[in-house]
Amino acid sequence: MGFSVSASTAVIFAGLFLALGMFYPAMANSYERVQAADANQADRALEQANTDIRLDDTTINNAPSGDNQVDITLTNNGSTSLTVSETDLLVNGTYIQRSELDTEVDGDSTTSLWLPGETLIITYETSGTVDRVRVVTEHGVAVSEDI
Amino acid sequence: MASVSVSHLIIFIASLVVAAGVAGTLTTGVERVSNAVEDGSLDVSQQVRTDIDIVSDPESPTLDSNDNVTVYVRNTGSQGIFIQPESIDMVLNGDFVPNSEFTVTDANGDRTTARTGDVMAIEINNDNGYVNSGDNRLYITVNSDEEVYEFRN
Repeated sequence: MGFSVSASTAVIFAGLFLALGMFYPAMANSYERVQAADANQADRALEQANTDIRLDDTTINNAPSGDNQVDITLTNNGSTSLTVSETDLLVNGTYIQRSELDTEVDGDSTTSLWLPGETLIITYETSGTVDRVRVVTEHGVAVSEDI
Repeated sequence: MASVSVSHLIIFIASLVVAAGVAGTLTTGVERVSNAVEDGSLDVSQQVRTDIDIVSDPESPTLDSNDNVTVYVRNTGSQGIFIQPESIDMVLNGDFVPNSEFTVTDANGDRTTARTGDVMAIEINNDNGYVNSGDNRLYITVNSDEEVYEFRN
């Protein structure tokens, strides 16, 4: 009788050991995965809070082609570096494709970096009228103005 | 004496069978729970990484002559979003908009996945009169991330 108890206890403990061995890595991996996603979200929230842009000036000129040319001058007022190719323009509420925009950061039209303190000029040509513009940065921070 | 040994042997085997059964059931149960926890954590981490932002101008919403409304949504999270109606749930003025009633496209090209920074154009077909003539409220849900877009027609 004594040996039966010892043997079955050993089998049950072996089972418990196996179960714990499966459970611990699953819990540890899951916790780490969610923790990493949380840290990533906190980073994004911090970057969004640190982002600020100012709309300095909007002018409409006549382009050589006869169309209206809108020049929008913006300043990166925050403390994050922004990406020019991910800055979007909406004219009269309509989204303008990024390929249709000409951009210039402090005189440099090839850069994709818009660093704190720098001035971005977005140029867009349209045959229609321009009543309102809205500029949205990569973090979702936006400015808009009626012309 | 022989009968005592036989009965001991039977009890020993029976106890081992019971113990093995208990251990087997326990490990199977724990394995199932572990798999469920792993799957759950994958879902939760994807939900936490998903973040969208309405790009559209509430002051001048994009409406055509039929009041079909186009909303521009940017992926500001770190999780890719498939550009297809199945990825997006929308409620406009309290009415759920079925997948067949709107189209989703890449605003800058023809990609099928919106990565971080990409903008999607969602056009809601107004044949069923979802858009009111006055104030409108659109509630968009993408992978548990909600955004509200309010505009005036």
